[in-house]
Amino acid sequence: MPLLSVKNLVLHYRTRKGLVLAVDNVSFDVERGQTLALVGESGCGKTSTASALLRMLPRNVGKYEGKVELDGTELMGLDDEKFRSDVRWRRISIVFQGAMNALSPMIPVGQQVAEPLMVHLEATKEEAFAKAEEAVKNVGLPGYIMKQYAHELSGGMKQRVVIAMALVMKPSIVILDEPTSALDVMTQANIMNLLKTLKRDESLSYIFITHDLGLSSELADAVAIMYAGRIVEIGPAENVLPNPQHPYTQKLLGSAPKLRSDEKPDSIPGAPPDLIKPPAGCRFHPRCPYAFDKCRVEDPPYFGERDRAACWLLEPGR
Amino acid sequence: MPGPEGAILVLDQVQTYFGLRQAMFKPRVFLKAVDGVSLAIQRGETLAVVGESGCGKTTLGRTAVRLIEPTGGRVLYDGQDITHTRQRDLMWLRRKTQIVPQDPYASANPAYTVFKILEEPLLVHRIGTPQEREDQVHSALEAVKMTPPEFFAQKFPHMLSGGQRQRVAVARSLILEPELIIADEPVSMLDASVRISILELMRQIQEERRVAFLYITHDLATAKHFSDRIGIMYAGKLVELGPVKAVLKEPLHPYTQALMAAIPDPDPQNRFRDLPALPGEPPRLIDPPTGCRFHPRCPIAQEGLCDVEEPALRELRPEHWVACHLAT
Repeated sequence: MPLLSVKNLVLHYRTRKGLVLAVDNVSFDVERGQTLALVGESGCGKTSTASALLRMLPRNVGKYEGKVELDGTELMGLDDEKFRSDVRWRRISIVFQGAMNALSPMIPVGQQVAEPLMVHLEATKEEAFAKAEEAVKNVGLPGYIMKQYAHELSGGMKQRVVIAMALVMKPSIVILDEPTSALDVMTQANIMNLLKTLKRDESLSYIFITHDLGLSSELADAVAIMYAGRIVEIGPAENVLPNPQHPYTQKLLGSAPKLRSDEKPDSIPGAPPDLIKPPAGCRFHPRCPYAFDKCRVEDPPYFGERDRAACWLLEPGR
Repeated sequence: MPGPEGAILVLDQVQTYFGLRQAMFKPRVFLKAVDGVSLAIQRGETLAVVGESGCGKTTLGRTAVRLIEPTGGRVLYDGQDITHTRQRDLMWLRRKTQIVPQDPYASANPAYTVFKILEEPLLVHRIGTPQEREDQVHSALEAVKMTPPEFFAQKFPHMLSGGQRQRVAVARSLILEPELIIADEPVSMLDASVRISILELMRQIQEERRVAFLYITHDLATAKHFSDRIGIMYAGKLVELGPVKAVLKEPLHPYTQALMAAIPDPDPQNRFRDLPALPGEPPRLIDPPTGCRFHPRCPIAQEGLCDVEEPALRELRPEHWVACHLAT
């Protein structure tokens, strides 16, 4: 049984122009100790999927439904208070994009790491600080930074603090939303190595949100490609990365300039669609070089066994 | 130094220091953002300058077109010394050099239409009649493939996507028909699928109009595909310089090697091994390490040499320069 099972997750936002279909029928499983990479361009619904899982929603939610089962508990049925006290941060936590720049400048970082322990577990200050120090050391930082302020730390150290915050309650699954997007390549490499070590040693599960397919391969056991609020392809990294089935995945891989090959990167014509009025049929069809009549009318289901892709080209018997 | 003859821009041992006072009554210290960089850009070529944030690459670009006055060394534009020329005597340079900024969301005046954004440089330099200016704006929009130009000219920046805004920024940099364009991280804010189209556009413009580009970036992979030569900067110094193919095929400086190793290509096997990553962080530019600035992080540094003596750039392969005592 998978650790996290998401079925037909929907999150729409109300705006003056109409409903934004940010997350539109998204389904995936995350196995225990494994990482699912959620890859796509900005505005495709990656971060909205994370907000939906953690139930951290803005006020203008138009529709929020689906089934989310975490280790046997159905989460969507829980009331907000129960979700806050028992699930969020305790069982599923998140490293937000750019969170290292959201650390409080006024409070020592150690206290910021310890805070959820005092709130959620009603731990005493001493217990909480002892556990926080353990968490800080666990991400490769020296204990003395507990007393330091955010401005005294480098970007890489702040990012480690933010990871320690996400891990301090010992959740079974952590969402990583572009955890290295503000960092230099060398610092990024060090953080990726840390995440790998934590995954291996503590059999953590991750949902790794990124726009970079190369970086996704550093953690991903499975890869899901999102486009315009939908998952267009999902499967084991061994299948999706070297042998993508969906034309969008192929184009996305082809558009990234590669350091170790002379293959010329190729841009994808056009731009991602407006999620208020997405195209009929397959949402990628206006940019797809292989689109035919059916693609413009009918929404494709998933085809394939291990590597599943929503594309009419893959329909058996075609 | 690497081929200054006939170069459009020559930097000769350029230093740009910023004076800082860390606290009242404390003596001023200097942040050595650019410290003795020499390079030359030929007409019509693209030189990429690659480095991590805070290595001085943006300051280098701004010094190269005298938006900042260097504290030492010389800047020559087309053979003319402009190191300490007064700003008001540099109007001719402002016409010949242009900048494509990093952030397409912050760099365009939100109250101006695309037409006004593009017309402004022409007005500043008092070029053409209104009809001629309109024609120039339209042809600049066509050059960046925003067609029909009449349609896009009347838009405001907020009506455009990030990629389209960056096309406007490129059009604006072209409208005065410059000889040199400084592109400072022109695509780092854009999505992968759009990024390549902007870089392709710049490459095409460069080939058609023989414009020279100084492409400033942290991204080795795009530098590889869109430039002729590449310079690697670390802590205010140029550590390696040469043809792109040569440098990336056989990086000679340990820093360049480490930088390349830290960038993963999509490969499902990656998750089973650690990325080779150097410990530590780039030094503070107020008190950089003695000797080679990279020695505290360098896997092959030799005591008594690298921590004492500063390595000079030397031409180890034809046209391929490196500043490392131990590179062979």
